Amino acid sequence: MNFSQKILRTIVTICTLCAVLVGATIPKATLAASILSPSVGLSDVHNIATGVTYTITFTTGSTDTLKQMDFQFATTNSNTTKPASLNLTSSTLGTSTGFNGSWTIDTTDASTGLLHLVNTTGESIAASTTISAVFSGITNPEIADCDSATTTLSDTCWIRIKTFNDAGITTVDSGNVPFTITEDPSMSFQVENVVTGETHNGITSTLDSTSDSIAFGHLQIGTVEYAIQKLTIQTNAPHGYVVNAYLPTGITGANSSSDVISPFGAVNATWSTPQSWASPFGTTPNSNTGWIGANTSDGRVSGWYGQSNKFGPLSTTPHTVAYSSGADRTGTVVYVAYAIEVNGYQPSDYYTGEISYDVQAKY
Amino acid sequence: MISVKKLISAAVTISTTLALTGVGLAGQVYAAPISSASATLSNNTVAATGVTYTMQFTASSTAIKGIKFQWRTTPSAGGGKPTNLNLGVAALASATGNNGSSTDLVATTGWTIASGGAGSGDLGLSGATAYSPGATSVYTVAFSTITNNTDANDCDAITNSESCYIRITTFSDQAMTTPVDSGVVSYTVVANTTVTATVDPSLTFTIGGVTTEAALQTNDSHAGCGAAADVTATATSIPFGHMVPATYVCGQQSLAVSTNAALGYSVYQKFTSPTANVAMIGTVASTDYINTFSSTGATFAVPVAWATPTSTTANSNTGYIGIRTTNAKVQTDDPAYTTTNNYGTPYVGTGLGSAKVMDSVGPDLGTTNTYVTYKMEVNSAQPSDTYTGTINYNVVAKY
Repeated sequence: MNFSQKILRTIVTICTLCAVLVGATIPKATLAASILSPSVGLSDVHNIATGVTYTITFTTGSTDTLKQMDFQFATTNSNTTKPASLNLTSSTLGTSTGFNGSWTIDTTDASTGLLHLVNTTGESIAASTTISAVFSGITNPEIADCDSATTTLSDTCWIRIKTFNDAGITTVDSGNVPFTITEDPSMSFQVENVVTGETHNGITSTLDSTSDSIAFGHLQIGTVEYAIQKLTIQTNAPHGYVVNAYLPTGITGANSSSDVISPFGAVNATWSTPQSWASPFGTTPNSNTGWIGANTSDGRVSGWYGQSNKFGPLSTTPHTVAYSSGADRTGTVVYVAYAIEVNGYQPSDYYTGEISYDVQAKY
Repeated sequence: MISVKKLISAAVTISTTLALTGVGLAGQVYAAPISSASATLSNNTVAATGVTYTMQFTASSTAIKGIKFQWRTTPSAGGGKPTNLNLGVAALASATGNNGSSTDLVATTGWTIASGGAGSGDLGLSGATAYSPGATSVYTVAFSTITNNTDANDCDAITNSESCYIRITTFSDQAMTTPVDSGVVSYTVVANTTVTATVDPSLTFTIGGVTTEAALQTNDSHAGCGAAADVTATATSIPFGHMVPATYVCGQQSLAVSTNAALGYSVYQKFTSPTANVAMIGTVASTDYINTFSSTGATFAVPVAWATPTSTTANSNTGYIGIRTTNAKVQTDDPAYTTTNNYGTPYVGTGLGSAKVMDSVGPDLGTTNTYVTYKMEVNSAQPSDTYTGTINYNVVAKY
């Protein structure tokens, strides 16, 4: 062996040693790959649905003998925090594909959002193998468990997938996949009667209302009458709701369509600047000789905070009587009072009108 | 070892990059639900017809070729078309996408309404040309001529209102089989509240007496009764007392009408005597008369200056009584009543007569009195007697 041969042998030996060392110290850091095409299918995407089956599908990036697969359910794609309402403790392994029947589920860490699939003897799985792991018996997260925002009825959480060629130490492939749960929109709007003598927002009803009628009866000149309806609004609409009230065709006389009750027109009275009730001052029949106004107890409506016993005009223009900028899951009761009065110039007639409540939820 | 560290670093970097790529791929597979969604009804009255539904929502940047709207009794999991909702003649009113600039989806992409499923509660719009917003886009789609559902309690159990749902799905294909984004909104139809009120016809007529000369003159400065021995009138009596020939005496009553009669009212005065031109009759001799004012040319419509009776034939204009009014409408119609000391002829006879002492073309709160002044005078040919007469006011409201 000449010098050159010795040099060459030395280099080969060193390279071999280096290769062995590198392989021994960081074997998987250099070999680990990303899983491909990850996806999650939920048998029920609704929030906090129970007994849900998650089908987690991905394609392996590496060929290796796998002994463990981890599925970490998390609130983001970078942490390991379990979505608060997610419950994996009763998870079972369903009919899955891409791996043999020797794999079992380990729910030891389910309380932290981590499910393991374990095969202690290992299974050689080639790269580009599509694996579908099916977990059943899961309770879905709640809205806002993962997204901090509550402006939608959906929530995107994450599952971090890792495969190992040992008992969860040496990662072979890894990747993240999001899944979205949603909440069905819900909305209920109820109009109820208020009987005579009830006081709401400083106004005492002088007659009974029903859920769809207000019969003011025979008006006495110069005497104001009050009727109240109870509105209950409940919705999970993230951006809340608006309820407007208006008289689509005003209040007109049955004998003469030119006989009208005017919108409450006290000095400075607008819907956003309600005023104390005042008697109509018009002297030309049908022009401010009869007034109808409304009051809302909903202080969230612009201009109505603390406006006890004040009134704004009720007209063909929709005015907001209930408002919420966000979801109102427990429901809110709003009392809307109506006042009517005529003076001696108001023509005798039988007056009718329809109050329409326009309800809009904002999702 | 430096080379080894670089190799490790590169491997980790590649792994991280691939992991993030995986995230990106996953995000494309699972399109985000629609957001900021709402449904607005032009008329949300139960069973209203000709209603326009405007749906607005924000969806992903993915190109789409159609959008489907499904009216349902439930937000998900089954549920059929709400009872009596009629989409059969619905028309596509407008459709836009807005990714920062608005695109008319009908004009630009040629999308048309898909109403084949209207009977099941489905409406859509689609076309062969994709709308590719390239960024999240706000979609606004309006369908017109829809009939609202009734309050059949199939969406909820609340009486007089019904909150139902519209499921919204975007599709990447014209046939609308490959969904992209989806979501659900609610809409609420409500039974209107019927408001009724009755304003009854109102009419009050008030007569008052004027008790002093000063008041009489103040009430009617043109009465021409100054310095007269004016009498104290009440609502039901005008006691002229003992008349002195060639000396007039005045009595005055106030009249007020309050009514909401839209066309106003009229008040007619008359003496109830059965004899023409006779206002008052003697109690001793029924042929003793005080006549109605008959100075030359005088009628009620033509008041003339007061003058002492000049007749020398007893009971034939040897004594008479005149009348004038302060009513604004009457004075407008007959300005002669604004002339001081002009008097007209009271009416005697049947019917309403001619002596309309109050008139109005509209309602009146009755806050302004009309003053009717009676002026009486006799000459020396008038027989001695106690004369009485009855004045009647007839109020006619015109509704």
